[in-house]
Amino acid sequence: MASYNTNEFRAGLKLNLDGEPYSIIENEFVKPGKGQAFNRVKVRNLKTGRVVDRTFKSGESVEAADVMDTDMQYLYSDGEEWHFMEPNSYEQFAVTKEAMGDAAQWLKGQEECVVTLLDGQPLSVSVPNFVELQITETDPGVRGDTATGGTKPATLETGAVVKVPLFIEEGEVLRIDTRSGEYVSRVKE
Amino acid sequence: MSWQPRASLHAIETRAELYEKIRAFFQNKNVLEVETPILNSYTVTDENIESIATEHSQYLHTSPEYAMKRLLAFYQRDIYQVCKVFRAEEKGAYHLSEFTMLEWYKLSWSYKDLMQEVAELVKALLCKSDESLDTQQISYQQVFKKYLNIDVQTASQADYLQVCTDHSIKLSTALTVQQYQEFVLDQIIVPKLQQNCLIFIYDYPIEQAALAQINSEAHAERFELYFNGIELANGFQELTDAKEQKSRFEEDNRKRLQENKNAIDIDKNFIAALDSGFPECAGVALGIDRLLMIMLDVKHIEEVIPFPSS
Repeated sequence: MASYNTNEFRAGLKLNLDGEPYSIIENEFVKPGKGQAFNRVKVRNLKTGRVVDRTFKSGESVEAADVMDTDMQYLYSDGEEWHFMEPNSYEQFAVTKEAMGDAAQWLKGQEECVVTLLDGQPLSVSVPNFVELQITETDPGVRGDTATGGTKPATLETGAVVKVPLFIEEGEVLRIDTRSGEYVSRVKE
Repeated sequence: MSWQPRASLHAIETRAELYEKIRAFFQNKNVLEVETPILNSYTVTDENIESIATEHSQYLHTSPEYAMKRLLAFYQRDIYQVCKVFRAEEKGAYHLSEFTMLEWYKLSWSYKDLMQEVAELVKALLCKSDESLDTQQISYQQVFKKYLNIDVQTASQADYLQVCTDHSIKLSTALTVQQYQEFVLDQIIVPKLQQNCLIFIYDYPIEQAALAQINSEAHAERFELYFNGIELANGFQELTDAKEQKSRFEEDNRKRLQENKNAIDIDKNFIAALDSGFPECAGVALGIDRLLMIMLDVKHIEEVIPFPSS
């Protein structure tokens, strides 16, 4: 079984803790005085999404989760499952609604995603950090109001709702940061 | 971009001013600035410090302590040094493999005298002329009693584990009593200490004596300085007994082997210097980069260093 030393710890590393797959969110190195060093980490359970704190003695070996991050192309959704294809083997994978989580709301088709597989089964999906999506519905734009900080909701072509500045119009294409779910800028056609 | 410096110009200027003030402070007190080798044939045996070795079987020093003590033994003068030191596998918000240390020794002083001088220096460096800082001194025993109601003389592993659980800390493996003490002090007690106050914790358990003398009450005459949750300095009533020092190094090596670490050759020159009639003295090491972090109010050590080691 592959394992990691604590000095390899970094955000995104997948660990097997008590038989469950976890991903490191934060890793803090602490060393008391002249004493033993520790790594205090925040990890997310890849099955339940729950975030917990763990503390390891620095230098300890921790079993790696048997997961594989695989680049795949998003194909389509039938409402129940989201279908992805591994571009080298053309093998297709169906991802459940639960495993998709928040990722589903940013996908319209063709996006390159990272699908995390546990024992060959899709566990979670990471979408690109930035996506470009068209607005299908929002209140009419307020002209000239580009300076004040006001926002309004806008529904995108995938159904996601984001806050946008007041001057944004229906039909415009926006660049969205999927990590924060925030509007970044308009995309000029 | 990666070629550009990490520290701001202001941080670099503040460091330069800090060095000027440190040198003025010690010149005033007739303490001699010295330089000792960075590259050495011997290194520390401490089970919690890993040295960086060169391909030519030499080590980058992890602290200038042994060489400075050889100077002390021979010339019997108060000395100080500001230098880069190196420790493998240390990287975090307060740790880097390469960092800057200020270390000084006062002949015939006690560690309690030295605590006062450390407070005087740190106040001179941190405070403007019209400001001051409170100072607190609290023993290792008192600090565990006061903040956790734990008696360090008698507390067991289970007691410390309970404290960790009470503070929502889940450890991956069991620790020794000493490791629990170190962890609980650093991660649970220190964050509870009074803010904006120089806090000296002194009289450590004998297992944590390192290079400090042990007194008749079975305490190690060692102190550490904390400020706003940051460990700034570590000082000792320096051990003068060569035999005792050698046997502590041998004990370090036994612990290293138990932890599957390699044993380290004991520095014969250092032991010989102690054996030559080493003077009674107190010494302390202070982390310059952490002091700068406080002065500049930054949260990561890399922000005070132009090109942090990766």
